[in-house]
Amino acid sequence: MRRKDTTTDRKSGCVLRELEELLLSKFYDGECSFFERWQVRSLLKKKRAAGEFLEVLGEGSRQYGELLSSRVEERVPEEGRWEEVVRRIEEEERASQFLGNRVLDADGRGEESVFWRFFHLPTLLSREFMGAFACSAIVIVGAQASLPYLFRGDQSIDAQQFVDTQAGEVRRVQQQVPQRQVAEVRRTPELQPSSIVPVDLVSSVPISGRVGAPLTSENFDSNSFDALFSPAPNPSFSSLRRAPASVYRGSRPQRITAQREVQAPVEVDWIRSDGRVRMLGNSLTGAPTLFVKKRVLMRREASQVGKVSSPGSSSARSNPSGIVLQERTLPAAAFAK
Amino acid sequence: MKNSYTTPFFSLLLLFLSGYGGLSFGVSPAFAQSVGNRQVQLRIRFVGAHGIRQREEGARFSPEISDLQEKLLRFPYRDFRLIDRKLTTVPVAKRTELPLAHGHSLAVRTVHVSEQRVGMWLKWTGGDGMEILDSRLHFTAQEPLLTGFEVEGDRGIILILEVRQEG
Repeated sequence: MRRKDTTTDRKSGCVLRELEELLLSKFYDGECSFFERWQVRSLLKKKRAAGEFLEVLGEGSRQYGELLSSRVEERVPEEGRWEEVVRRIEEEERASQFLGNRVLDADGRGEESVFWRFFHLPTLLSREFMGAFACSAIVIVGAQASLPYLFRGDQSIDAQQFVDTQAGEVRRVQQQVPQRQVAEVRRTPELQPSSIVPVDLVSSVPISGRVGAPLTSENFDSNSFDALFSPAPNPSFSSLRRAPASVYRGSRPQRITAQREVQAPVEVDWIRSDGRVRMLGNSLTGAPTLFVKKRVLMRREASQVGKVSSPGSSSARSNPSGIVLQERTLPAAAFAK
Repeated sequence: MKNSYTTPFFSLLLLFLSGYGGLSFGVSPAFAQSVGNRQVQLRIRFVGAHGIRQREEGARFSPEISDLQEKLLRFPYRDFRLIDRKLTTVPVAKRTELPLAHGHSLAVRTVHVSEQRVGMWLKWTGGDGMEILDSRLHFTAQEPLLTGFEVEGDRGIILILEVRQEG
């Protein structure tokens, strides 16, 4: 019934919706953006109730303002006002020594330009702006995800050029250094320049106990470089290690840190215990071993209770503070030899 | 150009559909088998330990646990004695409750199992209801899992769990 009345009233412009009332309230408080003010103006033209609502707001505001000012007067007596003001000034001066001078900007809002009104915080937090922001974010993320595919052709061309450039440089180096000079440099390591280092031997390092065969220029296959790091056939997990690979450049070995991710003997997703849990031994080798210790506080308390309790009583007790204490969980007979 | 834009979205969609289809229609038999009616063999040994071992001092083991001597030496005790043992078969992905000696109990659920790796949830509860260990962990199938619990300063119990794939 009420719904029907509301509908008819809406048509005649006598009843405002909640959103319209909120909009008018914002308008009265001077918080409307440009678009919202335009909405209010059109609402005032369409509905008579909108103007009445604004009048009611003004009336209520005046009454509330009077009430508030009377309460303030009651709270601060006339003779104490000046002292209050002086005290406040002194406080502000002291604060300005540390924080700098503060600028009063409370009433500046009324003189804001249309631009700043459009972009002030309530407007930015409005649903329209949030929706627009979300849409923009989705579009940007989607576009970024598509970028590699959009420019895939150009990238491949660039990559080819890069490879060609690199190859050209390599060729240039080979042309600049004659074979005789390379041989001389190889014979005398102290003459080796920092930029050109002839590689005599590349050797794989034992991984998981396997000794790698030395690679020379004769048996080196660039297509099977992964074989350098391939594990031994049928490795056991306990034998896997993090193994560095070494490359011998000339006569001086240099270690490069090519580390392989090795699966640990135990991986814990989560762990929960009434005691303290720690891992025993080397966590990377052998059987996983956990050790649970009772919490120290619990044991101390238990020993104190043990002094006053009689033997043969129940295994769990409460101390005066209400904490449940536990005694040994296995009878001593279980450990008898 | 249209293809470039839609590739990542189609990739994600296809990934989702293939995963869903694989699980629903048994396209991945390995997965279906791992959560199906497979069973694993569980070997449990419940060991009591007492006496703090001094440096350079040897330890004593009962003959049933002599194969674990090296591993048990990680615990700081001197004497190790088998209290209880169990050999049982438990289904994969189903919870199984196993009563142990002196009111202790062990609840296990095998999450996944292969020849190399075992994933398992286990909950070891003490005789007085204390939650000694509640964990989900993944370990090497060939190696036993040892979990010790310090009952008193010089006394402890050790639970040794070995999992073997059946069949």
